[in-house]
Amino acid sequence: METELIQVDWLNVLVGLGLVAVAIGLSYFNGLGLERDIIVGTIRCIVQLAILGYALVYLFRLQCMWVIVLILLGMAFVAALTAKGRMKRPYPGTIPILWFSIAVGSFFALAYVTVITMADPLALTARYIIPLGGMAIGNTLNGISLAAERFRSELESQRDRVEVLLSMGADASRAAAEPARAAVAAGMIPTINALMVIGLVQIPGVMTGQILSGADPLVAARYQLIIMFMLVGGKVIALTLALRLAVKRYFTPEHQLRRELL
Amino acid sequence: MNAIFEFRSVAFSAPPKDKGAQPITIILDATFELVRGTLTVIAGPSGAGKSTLLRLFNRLADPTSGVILFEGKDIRDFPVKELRRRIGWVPQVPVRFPGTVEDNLRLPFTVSKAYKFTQEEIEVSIQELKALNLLREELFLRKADDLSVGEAQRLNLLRALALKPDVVLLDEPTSALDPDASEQLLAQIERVRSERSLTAILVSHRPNEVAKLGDVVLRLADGRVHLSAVPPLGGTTGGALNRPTLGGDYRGG
Repeated sequence: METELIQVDWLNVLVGLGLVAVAIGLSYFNGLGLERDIIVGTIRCIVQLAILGYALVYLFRLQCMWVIVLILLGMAFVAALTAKGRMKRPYPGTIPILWFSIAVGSFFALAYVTVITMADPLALTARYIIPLGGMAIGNTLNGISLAAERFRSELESQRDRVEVLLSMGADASRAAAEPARAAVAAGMIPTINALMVIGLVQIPGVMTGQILSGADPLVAARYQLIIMFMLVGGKVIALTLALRLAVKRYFTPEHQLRRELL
Repeated sequence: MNAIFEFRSVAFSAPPKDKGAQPITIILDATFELVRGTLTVIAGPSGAGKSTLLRLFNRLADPTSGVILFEGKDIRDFPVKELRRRIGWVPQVPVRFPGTVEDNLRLPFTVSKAYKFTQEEIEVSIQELKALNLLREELFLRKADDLSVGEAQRLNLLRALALKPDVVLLDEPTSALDPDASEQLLAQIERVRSERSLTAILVSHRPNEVAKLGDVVLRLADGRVHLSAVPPLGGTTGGALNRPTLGGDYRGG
């Protein structure tokens, strides 16, 4: 079945700006004071997506797997920086720990999806790896700063419990087990909620995109499923890893809680 | 010499919470010896570093300088988990874990993979804890969260005693209790201490408690520890003093 597709060109985009103009007008006449932010946001949006579009055209021609991996590592690094920025009290060495955890979790999930789930050589090309990897990394980013922040606040509020456990001879990871559990749960909740309500309120992003670009809705649904599974798996690996490594920061090798970091 | 603990020129500064800030000096100099089987009271105004000093005994924190000896050996030479197993700690605010009182008392036996207690051993220990009569028998199956503050404080003491430590550290065990309940708890602590021939170190900011209880008083002021004797009013283990009075003759009042 060959579906007729609408090719959106830059002129269409320009016309589309009309709705932004409506938003600016409303903001102005109602004194919302949002005009500046809307304009700046719109310009950033145009520039960033245009660059992304051109970059992807170039990136998808990449054949060398090492370059693709390097790009993903770069994306994971930016994600780690962003996640750290969202934390109220980062611990020493936050960036390397988050970077490593995001990279390992996302790469594992990505490898599983491309090599095992899809099991098609085509899946191992930049055209698949980069967008899928980007989704895995972005999704992990959202959970990892939540989890890291929650871990610290749990260690703080459960400080006496943690130290009582240490005083009974527990090692640091045992003493921090309950805060770590709460932290992973907090980081996973948005993704788990997404699993619960997906498709009830709106057509999810990947599925929408595929439908608009002409795919059969059932194929689009299957794609969306594979991606959701990838997000769940990648994220839980990254969060668990990040918290295990964070334990080594919040406790000394002698199993003492470093209260000054809380 | 029968010293169980010896502090030599121990100083402690808390690492700063904010980057670039200076460490906060809490203890400038603590030099003293404690005799096995005695009750020592750490006294001093609030904020003087009493709890901090207590935390050095079981290495919840380490001194910035100086040496602490346990049974004549540097405490850093003991594996930290083994050291802590031999030293029970009762925090200032009672800590309860989910589950019943008994669940709370079983916890110490299972917190470390190094502990190889059989189910029978654990049950025997729980029975022994019951026999200490710190908590009424019917409370043992109640949820720990349903205990009163005083009961929770006793639960914390029992849990600290579960692994049969040689030493028990008590951080202001009576701070949340009214005078009657405090008196009762202190009497119970004294009884358990002699039954189990424990060395106890107790933080208190109540001068009358200090005067009544301790064999030895460590008075913390301006970051320095002054060792002093308590006149043998109701002293439990007379002749426990192993040092002349250094400074202050703190009798409370």
